Amino acid sequence: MRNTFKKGGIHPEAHKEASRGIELLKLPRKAVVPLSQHIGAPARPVVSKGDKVRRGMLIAENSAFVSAGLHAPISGTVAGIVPVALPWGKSTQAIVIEADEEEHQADTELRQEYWANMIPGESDRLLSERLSPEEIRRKVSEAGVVGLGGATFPSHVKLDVKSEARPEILIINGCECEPYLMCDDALMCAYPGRIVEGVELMMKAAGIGKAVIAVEDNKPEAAASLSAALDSAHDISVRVLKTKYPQGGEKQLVEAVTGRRIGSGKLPASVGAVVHNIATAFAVWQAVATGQPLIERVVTITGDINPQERKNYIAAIGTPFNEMPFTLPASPKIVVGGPMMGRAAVRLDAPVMKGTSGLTILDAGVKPEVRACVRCGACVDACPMGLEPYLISTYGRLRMWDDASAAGVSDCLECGACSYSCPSYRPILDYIRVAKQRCKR
Amino acid sequence: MSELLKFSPSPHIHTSRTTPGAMAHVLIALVPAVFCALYFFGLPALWVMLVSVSTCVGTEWLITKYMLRRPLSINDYSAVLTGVLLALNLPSNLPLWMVAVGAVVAIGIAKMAFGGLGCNIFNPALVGRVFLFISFSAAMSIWPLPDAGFGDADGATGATILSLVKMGQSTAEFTPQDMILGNMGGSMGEVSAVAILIGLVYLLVTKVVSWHIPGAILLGLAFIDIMAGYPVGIDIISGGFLLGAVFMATDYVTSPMTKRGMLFYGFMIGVITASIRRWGIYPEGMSFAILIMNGATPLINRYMRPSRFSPKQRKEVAV
Repeated sequence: MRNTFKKGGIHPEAHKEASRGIELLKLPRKAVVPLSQHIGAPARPVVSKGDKVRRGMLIAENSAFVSAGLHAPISGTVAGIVPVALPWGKSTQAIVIEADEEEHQADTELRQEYWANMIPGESDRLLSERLSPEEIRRKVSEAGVVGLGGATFPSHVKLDVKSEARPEILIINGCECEPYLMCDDALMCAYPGRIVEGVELMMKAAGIGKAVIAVEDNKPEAAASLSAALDSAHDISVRVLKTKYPQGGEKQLVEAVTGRRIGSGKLPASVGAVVHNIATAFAVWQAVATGQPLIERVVTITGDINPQERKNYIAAIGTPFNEMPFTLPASPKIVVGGPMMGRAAVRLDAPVMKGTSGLTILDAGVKPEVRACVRCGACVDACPMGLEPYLISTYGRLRMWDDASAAGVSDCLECGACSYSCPSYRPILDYIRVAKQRCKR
Repeated sequence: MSELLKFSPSPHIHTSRTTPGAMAHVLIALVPAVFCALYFFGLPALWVMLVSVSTCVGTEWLITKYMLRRPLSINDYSAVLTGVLLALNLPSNLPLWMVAVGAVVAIGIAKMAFGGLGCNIFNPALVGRVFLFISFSAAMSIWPLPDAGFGDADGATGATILSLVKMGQSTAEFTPQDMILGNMGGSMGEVSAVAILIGLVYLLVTKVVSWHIPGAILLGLAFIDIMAGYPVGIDIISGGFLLGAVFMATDYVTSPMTKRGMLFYGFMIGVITASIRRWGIYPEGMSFAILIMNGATPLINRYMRPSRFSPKQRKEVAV
């Protein structure tokens, strides 16, 4: 009997149609690296206009404990620290690096060598035994690793657990419950041994004795490849969960794996768990074992595009979307991330960032007509937090902030299951977001 | 920037279910019942059906276009559905002008006066039926006897099983087989249990309705019947019980939002129906029971909320 979370949830069509292999995406000649790609304080630049940088070199440092450094994704010259537009149009400061032909060639060769030498399978325990928790955390911090599932919370902060609050279990989120996206699936299939080593490093860094890698049952290849990389000596197990969205939600995942429910406004640590994304585990391994900071990540390009173009790429941070190989459909909507929680991009010159798990390119067509709420209760059934989306949405629309707050709007994880399931196509979540923002203040 | 990109907040994908789609599913589920109505009651049934549907749709069209001045809403099929359901709740020999009056009340007063689809408190078709029942009790209590085979009605009328029971008379002339297939007196849609059950199966398979409301109604009815020592089986297949439990009480708009609320709502409908049938002055209680619980639905929504995601399971309210 496969577990999943109990309350609510939906089963959208998976559309996991990208090929499972990973290809190297060409390095850009010009990389745009926004200073704020993570939760917390923006990084502080340590380079200035005209400086020469090498690929992997620190270009902006942690400006606070909750912050993450940035590294040059390509070698070249700093063209400036200028305001650039994020995918959703907001302007932010970014370091722009431009490479000449020679630097571009050299980077490309080094990068090919790096990935060609990566051993996919068997894991090596020695790595985590050699290093102290502090050393691991320092390396993770220096490499600018953040949560790659989309939240982009600096990983070294999450790994730095106070001894009195030591969790019993590390849960590695390999659910990838978002439809369309396959970056985690591809990574689990390609480098299971490295992921396992990354998980061991995380266990050591946080002082946790047990880890569970959670994978949904629609990714049997990933579960099998991870299981094959584990032996009985590991305190790590692979747990296959019944596919349901939003399984990757922190509270849902902890419940699915441990059966424990995290209270309103509490963190997984309150029930003795800590959750990290599977891609983060890989990035931790890269940082500690190979010394490569977080300058590239796996990005899925998929959606209503040419089927041959649906692929997983290792893309350098800072690569503009318009340098990626895809053809736009007739009425394009470019979603950064998956279709349930991803944000639509308004510009094609925006860069890949640390939290960019993929581009879901949808043929949006004509928006269906919004009809009256028929009180069918589909949103109530779908809500994984046991809220009443129709009600909170109405409170939001009518600016009844106190009522929205009393109805538990702060518990909403904005998974979109309510709007997804509404047969009248009502923008339920839009108004809930408004109310949530208001109640936060 | 050369391309024009589409933009909207997440989520960017959507279920294929639509509100008009749900209405269409219910209409499809009603096909067997409509077929039986035409088969047993012939041409008059067709006229009642046509007058009811066209008056419902026409009333909604007139009100949205000339009174509310809103975009037309008749393309969501809900008015058609109300028309069909109202017709199935009427005797086939009802004068057509009365049918039209019922339809105008159903749409004009019960639905549009409250703000249209989604805003009405009471099931429009049932309001129409009860309005006619109270206004024209005589005409609404003469039930033509079925004349199988799409024939013209021969004008024979009789009492329904429930009214025979109420009057303390024998129901021996009806065989169980007749009752299940629908060969007995009654409103157009309520007579054939088989036709309605086919519709129920269709609705459950397409997940348009869940089992909670019909199941709880059955439980509530059985509860009172067993206490009163009345055969549950006969109660289920007689009168408007099945039509009400499957098609009227499950109306999205007027039933509770949560599964827990649905169970309570359904159970109470069953209890009230059986109580009226056993101890009330009316032979039939389904319409009243549903309308009473429609009125209680906002309260049920208020007090039977879904349990929040929290470490300690909140105590479930007993049903």
